[in-house]
Amino acid sequence: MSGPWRGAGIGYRHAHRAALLARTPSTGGPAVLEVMPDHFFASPGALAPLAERYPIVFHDVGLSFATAGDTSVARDRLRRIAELAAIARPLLVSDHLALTRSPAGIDLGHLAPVWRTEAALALIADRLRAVADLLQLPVAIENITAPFDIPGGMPEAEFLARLVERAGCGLLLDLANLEINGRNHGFDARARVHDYPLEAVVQVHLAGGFRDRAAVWIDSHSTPVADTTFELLRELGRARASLVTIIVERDDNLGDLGDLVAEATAAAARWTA
Amino acid sequence: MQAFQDAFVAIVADAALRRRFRVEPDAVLDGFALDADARAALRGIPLDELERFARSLVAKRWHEVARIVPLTARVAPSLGERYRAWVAEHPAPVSLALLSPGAAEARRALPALHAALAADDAEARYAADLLAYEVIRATGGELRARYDLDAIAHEVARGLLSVDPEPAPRVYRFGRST
Repeated sequence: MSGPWRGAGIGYRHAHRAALLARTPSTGGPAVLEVMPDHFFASPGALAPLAERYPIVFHDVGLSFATAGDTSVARDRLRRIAELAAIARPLLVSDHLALTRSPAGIDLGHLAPVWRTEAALALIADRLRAVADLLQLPVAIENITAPFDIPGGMPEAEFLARLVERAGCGLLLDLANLEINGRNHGFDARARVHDYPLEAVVQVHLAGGFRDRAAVWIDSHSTPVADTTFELLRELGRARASLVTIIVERDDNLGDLGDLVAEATAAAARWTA
Repeated sequence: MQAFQDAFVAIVADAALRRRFRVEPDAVLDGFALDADARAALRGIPLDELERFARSLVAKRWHEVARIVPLTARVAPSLGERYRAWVAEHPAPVSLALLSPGAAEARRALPALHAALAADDAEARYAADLLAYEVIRATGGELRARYDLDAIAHEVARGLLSVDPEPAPRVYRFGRST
């Protein structure tokens, strides 16, 4: 397969470090390793042996592109990411279409939905361009699971389509998030996915979740990827020329590295079939 | 946009403000310089879904903290509830710490949780010290403890709960591990 495609991989978790360092992509390791930069802020050198073995993509959760006002927190974080990028030379850097902190300085610690207005579109596009310029790397933005839509904003797919065009960035399409949003908010993910700017998809996330006692689907990253999520890959034909990698995310019930790599391999097989 | 985000995040992060928003939303929103669109957007968020979202964020944070203090969580199963109650009233400030999110949050919560465990006679006498031991072991620093926490931690990790250990003062010094 030609183009930017580098294969499928997994998210780095410290519990798998020794196993990852004992392998390479050609000896049972993942084809690509996704790294969350803040895992290495305190010890950047620990990233080097991983980067020697695997193509790396960076995936951050704390840039909070949407937060208006002072950018000192993001700039400090970007300085650290740039240091790590010099070590790992990642294929791309991504973060979420989300808010994790307020301009006044309250840290939510996790992803909150953005009020998808014209003003937010302009702000986030500026931020994405600035990040790409500073890091000199391709940047991608990811769709999140939405607890609710904030009234008065654009639909997510329209917002992302306009954003990637305006910022010239890529889309990290999380198919599990899209599917969970469909289940929780009553739409068909297989149909809705075509509203997204699929020609801009540079990376795909796959993960498994569960339905809680309140019958709400949770993006827990704690179970194997469901067949229905894998099936959504079939809808991404428009991403053939842009997709770089598919990453399987798992945060809990990590299990053996080999099992996760097998999931990634299965995803790659479906994509390249 | 700035005022909208300040109001939205404050309501999500602060349980007391959220309770007030439920009964007198206009009074809460008057505390922020919102235009009519931003005000309408915030008023339009379903309250039950807002509450569920806020609780889910707290649950995720506890999950991260629990990874730092697994032994204390085993000795003091109330710790999760204590943390959730505390953080709901104490929104986190933005931090530039090099610690992992769970370690940074465990460090922030340590004084309050330590005091709560130490003051509760129903908890193991060493629970508060064990909490400090796990947090400082992960984040670095010095701990003056009343018990031999290396031995207690070893036993708890093996599934044994020390019932009434003899005091054995120790000083522990840890480098950062997260």
